[in-house]
Amino acid sequence: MDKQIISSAQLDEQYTIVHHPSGLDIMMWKKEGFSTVEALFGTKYGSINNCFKTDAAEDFIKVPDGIAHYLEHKLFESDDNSSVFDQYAQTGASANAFTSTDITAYLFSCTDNYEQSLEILLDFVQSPYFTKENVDKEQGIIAQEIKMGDDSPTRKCFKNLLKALYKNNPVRIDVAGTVESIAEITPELLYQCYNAFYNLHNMTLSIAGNIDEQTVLDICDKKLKPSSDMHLQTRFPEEPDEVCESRVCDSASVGLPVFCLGFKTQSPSGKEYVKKSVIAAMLLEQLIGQTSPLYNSLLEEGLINSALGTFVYTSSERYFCCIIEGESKDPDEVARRIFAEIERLKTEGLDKEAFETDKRVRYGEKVSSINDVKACADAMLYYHFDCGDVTLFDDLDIIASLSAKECEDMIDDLFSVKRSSISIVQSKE
Amino acid sequence: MPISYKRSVIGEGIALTEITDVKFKSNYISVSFVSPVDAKNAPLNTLVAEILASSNRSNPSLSELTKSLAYLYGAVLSTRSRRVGDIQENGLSIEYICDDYTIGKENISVKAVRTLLDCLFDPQLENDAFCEKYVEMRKKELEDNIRAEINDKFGYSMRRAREIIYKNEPSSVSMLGTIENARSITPQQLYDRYISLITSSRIEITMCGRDFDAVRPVIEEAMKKLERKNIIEVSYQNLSALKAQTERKTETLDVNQCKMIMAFKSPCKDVYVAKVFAAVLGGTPFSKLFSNVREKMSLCYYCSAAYSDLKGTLVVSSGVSKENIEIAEKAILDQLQALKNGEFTDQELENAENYLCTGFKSNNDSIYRMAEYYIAQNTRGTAYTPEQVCDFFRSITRQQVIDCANTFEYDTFYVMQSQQEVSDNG
Repeated sequence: MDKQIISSAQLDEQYTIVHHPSGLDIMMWKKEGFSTVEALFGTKYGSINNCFKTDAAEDFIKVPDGIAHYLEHKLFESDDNSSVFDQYAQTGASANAFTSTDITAYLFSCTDNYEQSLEILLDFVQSPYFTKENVDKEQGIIAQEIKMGDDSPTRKCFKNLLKALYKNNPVRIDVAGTVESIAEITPELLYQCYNAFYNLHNMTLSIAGNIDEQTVLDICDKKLKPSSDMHLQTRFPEEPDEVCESRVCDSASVGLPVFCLGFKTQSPSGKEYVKKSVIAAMLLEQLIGQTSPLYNSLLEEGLINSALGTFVYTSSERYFCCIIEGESKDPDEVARRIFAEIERLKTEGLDKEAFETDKRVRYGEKVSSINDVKACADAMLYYHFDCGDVTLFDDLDIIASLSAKECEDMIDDLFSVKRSSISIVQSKE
Repeated sequence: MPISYKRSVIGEGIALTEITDVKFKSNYISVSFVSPVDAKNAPLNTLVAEILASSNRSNPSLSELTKSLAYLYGAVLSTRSRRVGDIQENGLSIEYICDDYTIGKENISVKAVRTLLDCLFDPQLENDAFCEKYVEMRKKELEDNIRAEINDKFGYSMRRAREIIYKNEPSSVSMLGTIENARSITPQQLYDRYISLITSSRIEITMCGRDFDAVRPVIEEAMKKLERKNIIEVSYQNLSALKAQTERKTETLDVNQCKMIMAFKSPCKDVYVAKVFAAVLGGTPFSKLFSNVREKMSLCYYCSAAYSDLKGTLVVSSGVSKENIEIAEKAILDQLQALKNGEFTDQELENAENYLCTGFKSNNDSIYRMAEYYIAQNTRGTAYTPEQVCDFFRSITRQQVIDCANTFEYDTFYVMQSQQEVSDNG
């Protein structure tokens, strides 16, 4: 069994990666003094993986939108009609699952009996049971989930932005699909997706907290069903550099218009991807973070409020965009001011003192994040799936060695006004 | 090393709660002014906290304050404004990384705490009132927040339901007030309210994390400087009176999914028995409501119950299609009746107790949640550890749960429904 220890002397922390003979990668982080255990059993599979091929088929198949999320719901059913939640109920664990654009994960959190909960997790994720009856039954619940999402203007605004930024990339499809697309889902399609993506070679177990590594490995030895590599291939449509629409507007019951401004760029892989993500976050801070001159001007002028936020929305090699979202009585004016500030930063360069301070902020955020067992388990999984060989302590070195010049050189690529879209949701009246 | 808890009085009506646990790499300190909720002062209290978080005499602009915090490895200063039953807690908190984990073990803890205290007790003033620029900015934000309340359909429907559930009680009061009221607030009015809070309200300080030896004296010194008099005592527990008849209200909004909220009231005084009852009914993913109303009957996407011991009220909230409202209401009432009849297994009871224990014990692993846990303990006048609370849970019998269930009576039905005549999908 191939074992690797990832450590940081600075943070006084370490975790272990084991490449299990079954094909599964296992990440373990023992957190001294903590009483909880958080575990995620995840597959590198989300809503964007809608066209694929394995050794089991001759050709690529295209599946209905929202099927990854549907599969996540259905995996909680078992052939003896017992609910997975009922099994967890007896160990006291709190269980859940999520599907994103590129990851599906099943998780639990507990303070006692983690060994039994881990066995339940490994068992049910490896035991699909889809029938026409149980698949049809889920339509109503998922339709309700889709409708609930539609009631959130911020979510609607963000979904519209992705559709405006991307012409063909499946990131523009909602993770849950639509009421119409999920009606096309059958047990056969679910099994095809399951067999392709829930192969242990495409999966990772991430577990952190009050654990014993050998105990975790013993349970994995007992429960994992070795699988042969099915040579999964996924296919993505060509995406042009330009955006689909530069401005989209929708209506909903909102008190104040909400907006999302996005800048689209190429998504690299490995260290280059991590570095580009760090630079994007630091440039967003310089552009319109709370310490920036623009943020404070817009706030004082009443054009934005403290709901304004920024983030980098990415998936390695798939999509990469820098997002600014908030509420404003005049989102178009906010966008104009942001575009002008981008030009100013290109001409005048970054504020070097603010840039160095921001490095301290990023360091502080890293220290705070590892205070939390759940954040540690989540981070191990995300880094492993998304960042190649880069470990979750490596970004401290990347940040420390970053120069303002390197960031300035990336402004054109990361914040091209030509490759931007704004999405606005405003009141019907 | 075990977690240590210490509560002491460090001034007139000023309590300091220290929770020390060396496993953490960052610290959390909150300072709250505690006062009874009333419609006039609620928005003023909210605004005072926002203004205090905008600047102080050493950092006279928001931009300078934000830069100072950023330099302290991104220390996070937040307003802390919330209602707890009929009581309002308003103040500020700061989270900062421990000195042992800064680069070169740089000492930032005292600086971080001084920044928090400067914001709270040394604000930037103009003509003996708050700086007009920030008053106007925060008033504008308050207006925005009032307008934006409708954006969050779940929160908005819950607020509308509270107005009926707690009719004529402080708990029905909006923390934000109305737009007209927000516009009429003056800098002087806010400053007077601030003086009243720092002089007469109870002050609760909570520290969670480690290495407090250097910061404790700084806090104690700041508290000594306050002129304290006529302290207004508060009573957290005020059970809500049951209405003579179930009040029913339906409102219409542009929503895709209807939000249905049902409230039940009880004179039950045993908080932990009531929590177990609420968990068996609708507090877990294997509860009666989740497994029957959502999973078996597919009537709603969410359907859960939450219990407030301070108001003696259980609120069941669910997201349903318009055509299922009637049947979902009946299904929820049937599940409650099943509990009253004792129709639950020992296993269901044990599972609910285990689930609650996991939730309570996991508070030990977060500085923020641990602080909030002991603040909640304080509202009950107790200081039980999560482990002690778990022992209480595990000793609760099914008869206690049945007896507790039978004390709950149906008080309010509220639904926010979509405008369309018939929903397109169940």
